[in-house]
Amino acid sequence: MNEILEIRDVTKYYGSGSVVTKALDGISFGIEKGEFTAIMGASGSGKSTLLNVISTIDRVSAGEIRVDGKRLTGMKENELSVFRRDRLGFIFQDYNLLDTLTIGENIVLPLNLKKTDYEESRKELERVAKALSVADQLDKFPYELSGGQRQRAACARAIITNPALVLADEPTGALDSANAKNLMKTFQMMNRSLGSTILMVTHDPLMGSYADRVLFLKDGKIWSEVHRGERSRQDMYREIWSVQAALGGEADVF
Amino acid sequence: MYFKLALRNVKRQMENYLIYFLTVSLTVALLFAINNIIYSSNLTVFVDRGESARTALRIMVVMISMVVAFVLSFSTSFLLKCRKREFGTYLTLGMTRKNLLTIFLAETLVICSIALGAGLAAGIFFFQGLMAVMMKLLEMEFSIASCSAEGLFRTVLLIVGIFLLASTASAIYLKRVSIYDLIHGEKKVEKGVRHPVCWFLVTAVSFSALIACGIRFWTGTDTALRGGSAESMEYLLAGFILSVLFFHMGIAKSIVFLLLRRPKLCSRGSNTFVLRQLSGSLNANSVMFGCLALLMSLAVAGTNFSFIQKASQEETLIMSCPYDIMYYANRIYREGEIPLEEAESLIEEYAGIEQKISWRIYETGEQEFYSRTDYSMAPNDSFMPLSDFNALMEPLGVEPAKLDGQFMIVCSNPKAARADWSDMVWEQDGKTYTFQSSRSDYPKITYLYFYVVVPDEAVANMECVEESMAYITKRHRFDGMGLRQALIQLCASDDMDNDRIEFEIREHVRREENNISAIVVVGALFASAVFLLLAMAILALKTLSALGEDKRRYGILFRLGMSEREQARALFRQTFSFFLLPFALPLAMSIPVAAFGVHLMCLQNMETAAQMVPMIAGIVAAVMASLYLLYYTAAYLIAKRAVVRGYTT
Repeated sequence: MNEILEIRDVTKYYGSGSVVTKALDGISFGIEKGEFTAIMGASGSGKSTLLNVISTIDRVSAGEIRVDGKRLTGMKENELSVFRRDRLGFIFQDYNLLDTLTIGENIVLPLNLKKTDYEESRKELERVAKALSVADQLDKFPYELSGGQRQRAACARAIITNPALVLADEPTGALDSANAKNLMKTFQMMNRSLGSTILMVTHDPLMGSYADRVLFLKDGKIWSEVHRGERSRQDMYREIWSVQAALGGEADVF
Repeated sequence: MYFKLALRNVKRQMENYLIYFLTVSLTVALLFAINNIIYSSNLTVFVDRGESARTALRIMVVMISMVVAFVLSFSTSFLLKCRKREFGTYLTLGMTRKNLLTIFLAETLVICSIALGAGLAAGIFFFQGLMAVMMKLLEMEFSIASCSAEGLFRTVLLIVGIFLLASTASAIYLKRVSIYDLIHGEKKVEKGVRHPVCWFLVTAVSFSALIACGIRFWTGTDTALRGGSAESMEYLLAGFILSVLFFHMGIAKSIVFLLLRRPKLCSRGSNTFVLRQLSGSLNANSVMFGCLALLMSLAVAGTNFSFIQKASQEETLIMSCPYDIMYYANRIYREGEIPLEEAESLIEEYAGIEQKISWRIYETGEQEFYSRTDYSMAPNDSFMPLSDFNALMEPLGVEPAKLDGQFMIVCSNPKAARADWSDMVWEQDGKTYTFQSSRSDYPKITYLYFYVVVPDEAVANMECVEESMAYITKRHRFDGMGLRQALIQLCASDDMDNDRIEFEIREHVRREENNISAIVVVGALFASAVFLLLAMAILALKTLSALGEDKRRYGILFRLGMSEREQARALFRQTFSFFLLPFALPLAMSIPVAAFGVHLMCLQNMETAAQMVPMIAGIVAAVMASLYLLYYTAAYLIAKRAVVRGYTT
């Protein structure tokens, strides 16, 4: 299989001198093209740090990260910016839409930054807006939309450049349960119909159950892993719950 | 406890307070400098009309203090609004509004106190600088001037007053604002401008009106200087003010929105982002841009005209007072006539007499020549024999006139110059004289509107009404004030105005004009510095107050793959456009102002001054642009440090 993301012995330290925190402790895993992976874990387990180093907005202390075959750890800052712009897509908990731009301008912004031809940008905008059902909202400003619509617009922005990997950081965190479920269905659609490879960080087992694979992090290490295989979403959900119960129920926790 | 918290906040918010601190310090320094000049005991010695100069400067200080008070109140409220969320959190934690106000006022008090100290220290240098300019203008030797206690007292009083005013505005705001608004205050809603095309039309119309005002002012002044009736300038001034205001309002409300309608332009790089960033701030601040542009236009025009006036002073003086001393034996004051011999011994004592040229004015008692002019209360026609005229003109390097049996009109007043005598035939003692020419370019030697230069034989039977004398002195720089005072004492009589004498002393006129120039130039420089400073401070504070939002937005761009350099470039385009908008027109106005100055000088035959005008305008524009750039750079660097996001290591 074709691995889009390869992580080898990644370690990340914060602080200096005697006050050093080990946020990631020699993590290794890979994500294949077209895979929808979730990362779960308690607060402080290293989920966000992992997402930050993969998204190139933070650097690793040791180890190696490759996205689409390219080694990120040796890249210079400008190369990282270009790589992030062209090969990664982002979806955040608080949407991170620019409030001064219309929805259409927000979605097409990554293509503008890439200096893509105007006509081509228009075509891509129409394509993703239609796919994510925001075509009617393109001239509106973010404050005029509901949370679910905003997050769909953020999804459209994330995939408009056809990135190798879409990174989502707690994408349902600011949504009600109905909108959260709809968003997960959108993720599945992006994954299955549009072929997007998705890496999502979440703390919600229900949202995790939509993924093909769930990695559980604890104290900066991969503690467990759940694959959906041929199982239903309900079965997946139950297994996530049981792993999470085990994750939080270690005997030496006290 | 609150004071400790305030001190800690000041330390933490140092970056936000930096521009505020700079503004207050520089304002204090400028006010301290001008107050020291006003209350300087030397002012009376330096400037003849010390009290009127002082009053003029006092009025200026009051007006400028009002502007300063407005701007500092505005700045304080901006600082307050920058930290809405923080104050909202304090309130939710159980602090009372009174506590909050105490903390905020303690913070501004700390800043203002430090700024007052720093401003007073800088003000001492500013004061010496202004004094040096003033001494230079008064042609006096510079010596370190001592500061006055009253100047210090007045400055502190003004600053305390302004601080109290700003505090009151903050107190009112804090009393009224809801906790919700404080916490959610930073969430702005982007609103588009309605009818941007209409606003663009407003821009075009106001720009046309501005040009029309300029042309009208140009032609009006031209006509007035050529002797025509001067039209009312109040309407032009009102038109200029409204045009500048509406031009900036229109451009702020239209240009970005029209650019946003060009999809191809927007699709390139961060253009959409920068334009959208600008659209909100320009739209919300359109009136402010108009006011700032107006202040800066006045600063540019005021400074230019004050320097142009100074540059033309020497040439004006040579034209209006061609001789070192002129004695007018005016028949009106014949009763209080100065004993000429005694007066000449005084002149000899003060300046030394090198040459004396006597000349006479004759009258026929008729108004034949005046009947061709527009003067309603015309005096009798005045005549000067050709030999006297040439004798007067020769030492001034003027070619001797030749009449060949004709007459020549010499006009001192533009209204007279418009009259037409070309078909006039004048008879005197049985002889007929025809018109030769009408001239306005001879040096001014009488106070008459015009006089007729005629062949010597024509005045043989006329009454001599004036026997005047022109003096060329051995020393061209002498104590003109002292000589005048001595001459006044010589002819002092009860029935005469003590200040009027029949001698016109060029050195005295020059010193008087120097005094006026000194006040005008120092006043214009001071007002321009304050206007420029305040405009820059407002723009800088506006930029900095939006940093919280900008930081979040640029953070998103960083995540979307915008490099540090691209972010810096976008921020530069955003902030520079914001700073440039109210400054572009005033700066560009230097060109028409210079052109007008050149025209004005040429009209008055002042060629040396005309050559200096473009240089003056260039220097004024360069100095203003440099100061502006300096402030902008400081604001940009602070913004860049706070907003542009790089990689964490």
